[in-house]
Amino acid sequence: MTERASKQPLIAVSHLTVEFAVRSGFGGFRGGARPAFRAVDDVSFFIYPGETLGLVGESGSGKTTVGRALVSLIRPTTGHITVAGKDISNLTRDDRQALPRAVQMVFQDPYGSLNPRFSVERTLAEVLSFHKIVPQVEITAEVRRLMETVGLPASLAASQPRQLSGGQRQRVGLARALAVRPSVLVLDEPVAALDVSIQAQVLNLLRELRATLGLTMLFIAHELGVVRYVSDRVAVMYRGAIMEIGTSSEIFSTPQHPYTKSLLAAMPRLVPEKRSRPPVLSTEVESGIGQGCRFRARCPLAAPICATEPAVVKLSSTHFASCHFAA
Amino acid sequence: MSGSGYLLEVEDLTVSFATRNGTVLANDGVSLNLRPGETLGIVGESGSGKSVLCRAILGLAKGKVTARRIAFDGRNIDEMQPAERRRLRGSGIAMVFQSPMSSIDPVWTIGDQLVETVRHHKAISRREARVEAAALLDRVGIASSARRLDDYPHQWSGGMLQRAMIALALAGNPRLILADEPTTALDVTIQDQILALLMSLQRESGMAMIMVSHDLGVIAETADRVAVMYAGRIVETADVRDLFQEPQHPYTAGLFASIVAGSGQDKMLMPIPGQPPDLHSLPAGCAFAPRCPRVRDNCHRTVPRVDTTVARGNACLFPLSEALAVEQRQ
Amino acid sequence: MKTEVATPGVLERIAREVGSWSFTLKLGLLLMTIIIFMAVFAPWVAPFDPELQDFDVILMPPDLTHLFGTDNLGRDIFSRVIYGARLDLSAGFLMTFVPMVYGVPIGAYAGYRGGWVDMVVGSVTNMAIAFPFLVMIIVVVAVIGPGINAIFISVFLLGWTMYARLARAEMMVERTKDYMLAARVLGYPTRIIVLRHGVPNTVASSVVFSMSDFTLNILLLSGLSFIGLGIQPPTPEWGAMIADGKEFILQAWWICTMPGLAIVLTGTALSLIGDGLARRLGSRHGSAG
Repeated sequence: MTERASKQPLIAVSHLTVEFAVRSGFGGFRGGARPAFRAVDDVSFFIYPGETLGLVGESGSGKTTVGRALVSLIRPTTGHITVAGKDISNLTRDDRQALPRAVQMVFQDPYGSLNPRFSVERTLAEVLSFHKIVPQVEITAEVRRLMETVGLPASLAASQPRQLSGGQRQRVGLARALAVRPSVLVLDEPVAALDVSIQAQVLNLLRELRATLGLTMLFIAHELGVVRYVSDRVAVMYRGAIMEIGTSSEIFSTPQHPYTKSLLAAMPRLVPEKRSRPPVLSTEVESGIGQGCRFRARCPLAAPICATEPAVVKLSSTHFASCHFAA
Repeated sequence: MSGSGYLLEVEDLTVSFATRNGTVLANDGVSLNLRPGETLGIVGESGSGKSVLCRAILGLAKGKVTARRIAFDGRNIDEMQPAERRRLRGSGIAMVFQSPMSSIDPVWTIGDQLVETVRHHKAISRREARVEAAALLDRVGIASSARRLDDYPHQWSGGMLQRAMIALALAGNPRLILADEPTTALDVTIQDQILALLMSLQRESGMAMIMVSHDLGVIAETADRVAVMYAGRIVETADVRDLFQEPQHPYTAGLFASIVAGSGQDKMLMPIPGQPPDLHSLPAGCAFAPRCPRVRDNCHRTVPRVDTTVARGNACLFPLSEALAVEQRQ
Repeated sequence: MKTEVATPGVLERIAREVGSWSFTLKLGLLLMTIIIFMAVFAPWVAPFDPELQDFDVILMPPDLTHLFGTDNLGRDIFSRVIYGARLDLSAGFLMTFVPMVYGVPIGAYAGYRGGWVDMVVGSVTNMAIAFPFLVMIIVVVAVIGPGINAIFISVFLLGWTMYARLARAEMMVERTKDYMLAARVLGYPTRIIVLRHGVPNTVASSVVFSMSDFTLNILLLSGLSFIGLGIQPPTPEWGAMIADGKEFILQAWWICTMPGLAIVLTGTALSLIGDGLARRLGSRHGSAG
């Protein structure tokens, strides 16, 4: 689906498709057509400067792949990603070297996202030194400043990752990403692996930084509740495509796509009442995608018309859904 | 059969591990009771000891386990012979683990594992066991059960594997199921399915359940009573409605204030400050004191304990409702 | 709020680290330290000149003057064993750690890049593994003559393969970890990612293997000297000493046995260190939070 850009977007993803070759047998060297797995299928969206777009989906939705394509970890099969007007798959050498200073990533796993042999100081100093963010003499001071920004006490500078808690490691990962002073931050499920009480700390920190640093963020998560807290707009993905996109309040108060509604309804309620209602979706995810709407096999509203690919329905200048039955 | 009517009684359970940096008490004086057919929710984060508790009840804990009493249906588990204890596992108490992908043996078919489990509890032939295995898969909502018996675990999705694990747990017709974060590793819509399944199975069979989760939403929808754990100790027990309406312990209140669900974008989360407890170096006195907004001097001196003989208790010297503090036992 | 923990001093950290080592590791290191000490201070530790021949005391059994006895030329075996340690230890060290220095990065790079780079490196590795070592030695000896240099050249050409394989395997696991991806996203060039981030985290199994390799290399050197392709007499080297003593094994058993025991002791010390390291490095690998 495509939105129309109302002002100049900082990030423009246009008809992004990412296919992975499925390895078979002898390292993929099998004669004949190699079946491809389409993780992302014709995805388009914008992110405006200073905005946070939440990208929500369950496993297999392609949200992580979109995030990684944005930071050039994965190359698009077709489609374009533009950052500040420049197509990132078609950059000059200088631009390619400058890209890491513009777009950075925070990873999900607090236990694997830091080099186990580097102290906090070393991890951060290396970034500052490599990108010459500050002159050599100011590196230590800048490291302290970064740690303070993410709420880490300076006494932890010499600590190794294994001495830190999950929440502290995520803060280090955040500091590392912020060290290059990026304009765009892609966060791939940054709080999913953290304890609830620590999640709240980190989410508050993100909200604060968003305001003070004017960051533009892509916040990837599998939980709608978490996304809502930090996002201005939300895109809901299912099996490689965007089902619905809109402002936070549009998505949460007036969702139009059956999948969005299912996600919202499936969240456990905080009402102390033993559940007796049936599950929102009763089937598993099917293995192949047939023709037409990819949610057809599990959709409570499925009808014969769903065998054709639904057009994008414009519900407002910011709200779009890809469903035949969207109002 | 004991006259108290409790299905499970745990009194003063302590599990300790000897590590390089000293002894760690994963469970410290934990006590709880469970009636037949009841669901006890156990809420806790990392370091709370909730998973170790489940394993200790089954006798699977790795550390040193001491307890004044662990009794199932009136019989003391530690007084049992090893053979009787083995039979207890699966037919009296069964367990559903967190991550089905790593808790099911990948080299055997689903059917083989079910058949083996069924035959462990009933002396029947392989053919009869296979029929029962298919029936179990039906019960947990797997379609075409007879054909799927010959599938290998890697062919199934996370949600289906969790159903298989539940089937394995049901194979012995247990009276109590320990569910250790059974939905944490699953997608939201699949989690929804599994919770619905567990609740309907419980209604149908009348079995009791201990549901361990860090997710208060899961607890809300499944539990009759709740025990909140922190740093290896129980800090609050209450009926689920009471807990949600009026949490007494500052940690419980802090947990509620930390959850996103239910808060709009405008309402700020009030996270619990500080870091999760390091079991190697717990402070003297209340373990939550370093992070508690209501801390006072006495909190550093005494370790408050929950009185589990009453229906509602908390381990706080200055609980949110002062009136309840009168009952506190030090 | 969280109270700040003071960072312990350097000495305290070292003491704590050493304290956590297993008994195996400490015993192995102790033995090795003693052996190295004696080798380094050979001129002071050895009572006699290892090449001093004294025909008055030939074939003497061990006694208080000649702790390990004497050989058929009256040379003191104890002194020869100690001086032999110098050769065996230093040669073994070079034969082990020089190939490791380039074997590990080669394997790590191949493991990181994958694809055709991995295939090419893999083919070269397989060729080196398949090449018979003895043939290589003979060829080199034929070209430059027998001696330690021929052995060095052959080992440097062929001995790196195991390290490459081990490092490659570990790197293939490590490269999926988020911190490696983060290094890419941060724009670090491949050279830095592999050498500075990857190698230190993939070197564990190579280090453990190097202890076995060290022992095997000493045996290799001794074996080659035994058959005459390695160290030439009269230089004391454990294998050469065993060769010299084999004709006298019935009447003067100590000439063969003492250097043999030295090899056994060194090998044992290295194995203990290897075991201890495996446990130490493995535990760091395995423990997550």
